[in-house]
Amino acid sequence: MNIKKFCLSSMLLALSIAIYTLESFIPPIGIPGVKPGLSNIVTLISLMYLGKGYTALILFLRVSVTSLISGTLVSFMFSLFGSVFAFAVMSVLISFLPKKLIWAISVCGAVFHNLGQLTAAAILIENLSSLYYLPMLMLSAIITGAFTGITAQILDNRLGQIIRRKFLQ
Amino acid sequence: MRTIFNNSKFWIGLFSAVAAISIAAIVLTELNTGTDVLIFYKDKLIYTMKLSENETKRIELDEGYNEIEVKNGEVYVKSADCKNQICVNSGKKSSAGSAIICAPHSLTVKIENDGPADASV
Repeated sequence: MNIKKFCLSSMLLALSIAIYTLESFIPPIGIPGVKPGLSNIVTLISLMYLGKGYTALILFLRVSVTSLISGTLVSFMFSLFGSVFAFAVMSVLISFLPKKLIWAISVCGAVFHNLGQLTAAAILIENLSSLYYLPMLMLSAIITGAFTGITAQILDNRLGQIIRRKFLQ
Repeated sequence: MRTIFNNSKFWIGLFSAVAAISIAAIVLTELNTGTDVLIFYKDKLIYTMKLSENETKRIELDEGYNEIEVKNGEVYVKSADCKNQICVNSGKKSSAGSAIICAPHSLTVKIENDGPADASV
């Protein structure tokens, strides 16, 4: 384990926990599962600089810690399903898509995050009525995924060099 | 293959198509007004209500309670003792195919359209 990478991943974990917790204070808008998903920015940055192993660890710890802070077993399950689905699709796409398409990887991640949450809901309620929310969740995933993806791309342009010089050399 | 996926236009087209289909699905669902409220615990039907009749029903489960109200042709969860309150915040529903879900209680409030039965009333 490289100590600089370890420091960077710890900072990204702390950042994602803070973002996730702040986001949970946004009042619900009436459609379950619709939220900005801002901690996905951290996941994307981590995938770009630290790779899949560190990102998987950061995601799992973020889900666990935030569930301990403010969640329940049910919310942990929703969070875990969403994160596993999103991570699976983004970690595959990032290895063969160019950096200018980070926004598209982010949208795919958001779409699969929401599909994961629908799967969790279907398992918990043991029927498929949750599919009613599918169109709304797809629409919101495309909007929020594009937003977080573009934000990650801007961050990469502004901070990429500094992060590489300080932590990855 | 690689060249198509590396093109931004491919992704913009794909996401626009998914968005358009989603909007169409939302609009089509909203246009179709339902008649019956079916309440499920897991996959079992435990109670039914009519959207045309005002009624308040308190569903008691081992996991907790949900108070479900039909008022002026709309159904909503008035109160529940779950922690996240997602079912309460889901708002009022009246279109066929729509659903309110309380995942912690494994409870589903589903609206369906029972055409023939409605015509015979």
